[in-house]
Amino acid sequence: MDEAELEVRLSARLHARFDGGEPSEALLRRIAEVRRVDRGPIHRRAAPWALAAVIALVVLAGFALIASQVRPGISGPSLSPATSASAASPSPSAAADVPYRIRVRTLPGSPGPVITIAAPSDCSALPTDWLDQICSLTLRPDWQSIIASTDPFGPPLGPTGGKTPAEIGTPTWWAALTRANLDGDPTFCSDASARSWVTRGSGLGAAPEPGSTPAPLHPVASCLNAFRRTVSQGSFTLIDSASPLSPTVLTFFVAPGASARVGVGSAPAFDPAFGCYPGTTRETCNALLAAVTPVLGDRRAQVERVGVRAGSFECTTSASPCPPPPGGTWLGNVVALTGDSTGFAFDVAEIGGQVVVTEVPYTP
Amino acid sequence: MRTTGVAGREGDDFEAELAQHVRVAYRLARAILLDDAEAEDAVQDACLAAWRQRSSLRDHGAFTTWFDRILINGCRDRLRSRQRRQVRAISLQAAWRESSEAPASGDARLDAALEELDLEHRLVVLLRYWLDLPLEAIAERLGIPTGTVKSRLHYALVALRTGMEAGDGRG
Repeated sequence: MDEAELEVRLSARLHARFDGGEPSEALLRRIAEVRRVDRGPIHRRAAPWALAAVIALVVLAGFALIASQVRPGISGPSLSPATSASAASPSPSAAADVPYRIRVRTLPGSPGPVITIAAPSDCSALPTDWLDQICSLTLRPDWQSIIASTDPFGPPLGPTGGKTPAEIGTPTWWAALTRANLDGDPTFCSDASARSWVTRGSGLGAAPEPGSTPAPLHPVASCLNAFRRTVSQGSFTLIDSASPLSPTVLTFFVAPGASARVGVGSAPAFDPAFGCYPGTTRETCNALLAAVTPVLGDRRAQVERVGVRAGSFECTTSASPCPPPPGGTWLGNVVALTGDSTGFAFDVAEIGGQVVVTEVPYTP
Repeated sequence: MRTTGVAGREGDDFEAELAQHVRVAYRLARAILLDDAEAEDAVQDACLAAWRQRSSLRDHGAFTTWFDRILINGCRDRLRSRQRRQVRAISLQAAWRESSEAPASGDARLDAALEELDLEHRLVVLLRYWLDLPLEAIAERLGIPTGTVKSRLHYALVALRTGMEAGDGRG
């Protein structure tokens, strides 16, 4: 593409993207009264960041509710030792490394040769520690041996909140995703961490056009579609823009056999937007989703968003110490919201080695 | 060019001028910030700042340039604040973009390449290829020499082309 052609395409694309935006009536009113605004307190939107199209925050809002009654409990399967015991970060892989092929390019610049990563020392060619970590971790034989319990976003943030490097995903998260993508492993897409990450929109899809209403999200299906596209293309690209003027582009080449593996994956019928919140682990979120899904029954058809949080539903809005359930411990609570913002809430406890699901009233 | 001291003008006139420009200002803020809600905040802040600084506008004909400069500086501050919150961006390209909602693949690659540009290079691209401003007008709005605008445009086009090639999978 020559410079003139690029300029024409660029101009057309910018006009297509940005010509149509209209300010809200509220903004026009505020500006029409700018003198009054100058004299009095500045009226602002109640919570500017809360209006960002981050579905996770919408789900979170569902927790700001109080339950007042408890219905009879419903017993579910017990939490298996395999899931409950793996809450710590993964230990170094005991299994043999699985080599893979990449190409490294730092922009602007020419692409390097395709190299095989067979040992952690091969990753030293990468320009940042972040990529070096991801590269080394990806050598492990499967995504389960890479991912950490608090992935995708790492441990809870401090009281000041805000975005941190970890909030775009930890190195273990990116390496697990990369390994699953290389292998075309569809099991990754059903994990609570993948559902949360896709729901949060970290890297999936172009940003929605401003002012548009996003369609209901189906994170498992979206993840599987991305894996299938990757396999059909034979590679995928990961860009690290730690240095915005010279981002590093890594091209990963998918493994032979990935096509067959991803081909057998299918999204579940119940595939709502999903949030796994601080204070929980991905193992807990997986277990709670599995426990509550059958209890929802026919109501699953109405549910668009599901969130899992630590403690009981009542405790999520109470500052006082949260008493444990009689004879057991809270595993967490689940809120399932419908498209019209009604919803269902469930407390999940482990009592006598059994997972007990109790539906509690959801009061918006 | 008409020269009018604005300091003594009725506030109504100044507000009317702001109101006339607000739609264009909102679109510019939205294109820079890529966030509708934050763009509204940026425009509101810029209007308030413009109102408070209105006595510094000596050339009525330069209102648009003067206001855009306030707005762009406000957007800069917001983006820098955002970068402090998120010092690194790491993204999956091409294959992970949803085909159902994304633009055609060539446009998706161009969008991705644009978003990889740093703020100063993206600004000159927006002002030149979207608002179709001449180099001198861009220089006035950004407060930089015209030569710097030229060199930033040149670099941005090189980076866009290489970024699109990387997204093509040819990289």
